[in-house]
Amino acid sequence: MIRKSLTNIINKAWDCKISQTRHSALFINGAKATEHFVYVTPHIDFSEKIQHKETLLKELLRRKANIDLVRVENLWQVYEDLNTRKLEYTKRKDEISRELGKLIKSEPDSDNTKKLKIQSDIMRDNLKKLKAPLWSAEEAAIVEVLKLPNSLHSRTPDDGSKVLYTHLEPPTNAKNHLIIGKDLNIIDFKKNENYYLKGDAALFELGAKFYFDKILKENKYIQFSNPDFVKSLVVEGCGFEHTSPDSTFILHHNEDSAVNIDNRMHLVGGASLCSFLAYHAKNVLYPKVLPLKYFTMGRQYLPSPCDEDSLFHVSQSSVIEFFGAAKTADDVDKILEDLTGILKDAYGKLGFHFRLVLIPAEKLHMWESLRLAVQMYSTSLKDYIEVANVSISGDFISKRLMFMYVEDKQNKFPHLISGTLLNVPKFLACVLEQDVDFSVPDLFKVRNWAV
Amino acid sequence: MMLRHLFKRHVTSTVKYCRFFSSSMVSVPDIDTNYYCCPKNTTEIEKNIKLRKGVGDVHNVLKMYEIINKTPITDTSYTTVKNDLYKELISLPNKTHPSVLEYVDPKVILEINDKRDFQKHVPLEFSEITRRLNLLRTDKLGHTCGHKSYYFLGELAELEEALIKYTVNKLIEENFELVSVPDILPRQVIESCGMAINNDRTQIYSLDPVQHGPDLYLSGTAEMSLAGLLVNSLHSEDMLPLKLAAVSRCYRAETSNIIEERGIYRVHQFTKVEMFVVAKPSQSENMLEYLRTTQQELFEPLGFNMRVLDMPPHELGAPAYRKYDIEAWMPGRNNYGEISSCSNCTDYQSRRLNIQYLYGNNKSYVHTLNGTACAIPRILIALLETHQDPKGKIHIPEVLQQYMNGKKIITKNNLVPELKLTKIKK
Repeated sequence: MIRKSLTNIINKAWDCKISQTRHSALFINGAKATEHFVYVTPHIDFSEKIQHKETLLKELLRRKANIDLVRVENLWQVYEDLNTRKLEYTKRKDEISRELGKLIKSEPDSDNTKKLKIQSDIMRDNLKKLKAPLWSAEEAAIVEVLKLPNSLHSRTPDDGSKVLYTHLEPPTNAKNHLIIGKDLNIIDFKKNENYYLKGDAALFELGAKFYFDKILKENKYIQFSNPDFVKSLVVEGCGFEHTSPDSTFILHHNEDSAVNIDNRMHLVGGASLCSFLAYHAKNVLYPKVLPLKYFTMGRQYLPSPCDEDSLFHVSQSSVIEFFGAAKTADDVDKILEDLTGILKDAYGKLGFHFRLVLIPAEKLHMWESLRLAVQMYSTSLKDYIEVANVSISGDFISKRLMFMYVEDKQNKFPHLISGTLLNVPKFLACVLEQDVDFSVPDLFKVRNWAV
Repeated sequence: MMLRHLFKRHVTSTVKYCRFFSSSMVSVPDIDTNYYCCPKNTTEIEKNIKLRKGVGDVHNVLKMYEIINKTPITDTSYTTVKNDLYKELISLPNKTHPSVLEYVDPKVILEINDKRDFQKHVPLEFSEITRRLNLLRTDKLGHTCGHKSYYFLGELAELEEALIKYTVNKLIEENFELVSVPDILPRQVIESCGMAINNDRTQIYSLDPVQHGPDLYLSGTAEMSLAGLLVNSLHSEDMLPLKLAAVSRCYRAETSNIIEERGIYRVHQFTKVEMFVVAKPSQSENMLEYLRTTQQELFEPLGFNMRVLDMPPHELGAPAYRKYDIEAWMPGRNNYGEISSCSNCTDYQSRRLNIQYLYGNNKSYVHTLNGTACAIPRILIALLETHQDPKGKIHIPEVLQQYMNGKKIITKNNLVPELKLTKIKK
C-alpha cells in the first residue's frame, strides 16, 4: 500500500517534468550539495504565499508575468507530499524502534519481535528509496518557486506611470546628444560597449558624482567603496538571471577546475545592488543598528539592451548607488519619503526639467515591489528617460540571501530599499538635449569639489 | 578659476586628433625594420634583450628577414613569412636609455619627506589600523564576491574620494585633459600596449567568449583605454605635447601569495588616476622628467617618506625606454612599497597603435609616456600607516582636509555595524 502510493507520487513528479538540468546558483541540495560547497540556503516562504493564492494570481497578472502558478503549485505539492511521506515513515520507524526496544529484552525470539524487525527494515528501506525522489522534487519545486516575483507594494500603479511631481517644462527642440557630443568634441562614441567622455563631459561625470555624494553625506548617508565582481549566487539572490548574458557580464573561467554555470564570477560594478548584497548575504545584525543608509559612487556594468547607439544604452555607467535596510515595511516607506525629498532638492537645484513617477507593475523587475523613478526628457527620443530610481524590495532579497537581524531571540529579515540615485551617461545625454547650450553646471565645477 | 578658458584651448587641441580618428585597428604594426633587421645592430639588440631579461630572438628575426627579402611579393608564402617575421619583431623590447644601461639595481635619485619617528610606539599595519577603526572589510567575502575582495567603509571611502578630487584638481591645473574611459577593451588594444595575452593563464581578465563574444578583456590600466582612444590618430605638431588624465577602475587577474603583498597591497580591482602623454620625439625626455616632477608634487604634501628610483634595464617592461618608480615607506609593514611609476615608451606603442604627428609635409611616429598619478590602495596604506596616532586615530594630511568637509582626523567608525555570519544552514 505504502509502496503503491510512493510510485504514484513519483509518477506524478515525472508528469510535472522534473528535469535533471537545473539553473539555480542559490538552491543546491542532495548529491550536488556534496559536490559543491553550499554557502547559503534561501529561506522559502511559498507555503505562506500560496495561502493567498488569489492575491498571488492577481499580482502575476498585473505584472504580466509569464509564470504558470498551477504548475509551480503542483511541483510544490509533489514536494510536500513526499516530505509528508518522509515524516510518516520516520515517525513509524521511531514507533517500531520503541516497541522493539521493549520487546527485545522480554521476548527476543517471539513472532511479534520478528515482525517488528521486518517492519523496521521496510521503513528504513522506504526512507532510503525516498531520498533521491525527494531531493529531485524539492529541487524542481524550489527552483521554480525562486522564479516567482516579489509581492507588489500598495502604491504600485497599474495603468502607466503615475506622475508624482514635475519640475519645470520639458525642452522643445530636437537635439541628439551624440551629435552635440561629437560637435563639441566631448564624446567619442564607438559603440554602446565602448565610449569615451572627454574634457567637459569627463569633468561633468566626476562633478555630478561629487555633487550627489556631498548631498548624501550631508543627509547622514554612509559612504562605501565596493568590489565590482560578485558570484552567481548573489546575482540570482538579487533576482537577476545569473546564466543570461543579457543580465550581467560573465567572466571567463580561468581556473583549471570544470566550469559550473551556477558558480561564475560576474562583472556588475561596485555601485550595484548585487555588490551591497555580496556584503550582507548570510550575515546577522543587531536590531538597534537598523535602519542602515549606505551609498557608493562607482561603476555599474550592464550588457547593452539594444544595438542602437546612444548614451541611453551603454554597458558601462558611472553612478551613485544607494542601499538601505530597515526593520519593517513602514520604516522602508519612511526612507523612500526621505529620499524623495533629497532627490527633488538635488535635481531641482540643477535647473533642468524632470519628473518623479511611480513605475507600473508590468515594468517592474521581479525583485521590485515598487519603483520610484526620476525621469528627464530626451528630445532625440521624444520620450522620458529614467536617470535615477529607488526601489523597495521588502524582505524578498534578504530571505533569498539570508540577510537577517535577531530580535527577541528570533531571526528576522530586514526590509530593503535600494536604487541608482544618479546614472551619469543617461543624465549627461538628457542635459545635452536641453534647449540651452551645454555647459558644466556650476555646482559640478572643480572649485565646488572642496569645502 | 580660469577653467573655461583652459578647456576651450583643450577642445581645439583635441579636434585635430579626432578628425583623423578611425576605429579600425592597425593591421601590421610598422616596426622599425631599418634598425632591427640591420645586421650592424645585432650585437646591440642582443645585448639589450639580455640586459632586460626580455623575450625575443634577434637572430631569428634576421633569418626571417633574409627569407622575406628573397621571396617575391607575388609568392603565395609571402604573407605567411611576413606574419611570422612581425610576430617575432613585436616581441622584441624597446631600446634602453643609455644612462641606465649599466644599472644593476634601481638608483635612488631623490628622497622626499623624512621617515616619521614613532618613538616608543610600534606603528601598526594597515590591516590592523583599519580593523581597529572598522574602516575596511576583507574577510569572508570569497563566496560572494571572490578572492581578495575588499570594501572601504565610511571615512576610508571618503578618503578615497578626497584623493581622487585632490589628484584631478592638480592635473587640471597642470592643463591635463580629463578623459573618462571604457573598462572593457578589445584584445588588439591591450596587445598593442605591449601586454602579452597568452591563452588562459594571463594577468588580464576576460569576458566569457561564448556568452559575450570573443576577445573582450578588462582594462588593467587606463593607459590601455587611452591607447584605444588614440589608435590611428594623426596630430599636428603645434598641439603636442598632449596631456591626458583618466580616473578608472583597473582589473588585474594576477594573484600573489607572498607575505609582502598581503592585505590590499596587491588586489584584483582598484581605482587609479593615470596620466598619459603624446609628445614629439624631441620632447619625450623632458616630458618624462615632467611626469616625475608632477608625481613628486602630488605625493610630497601627503607627508609620507618616499624615494624616487631610476630603474635598471631588467626592471623595464617591454615598451619602456626609461622608467622611474616611486616607493613609499610603509612604517607598519616596515618596508618600501611601489606607489607609482612613469615610463617613456618612445615610439614602441605609437608604431603598434599608429599614432603619428605631422610636421611640414612629413609624418612621423610620436612618443608616448604614462605615469600613475594616484593608485588608491597603496596610497592609502602609506597614508594610514604614516599618519596613525598611538591612540588609534588617523591624521588627515592638510591638503586633503578641504575634500573631506574640513575633517582633520579619522576616528573609529561606529556607523557601519560589524557583521556576524549566521550558522543557519536551513
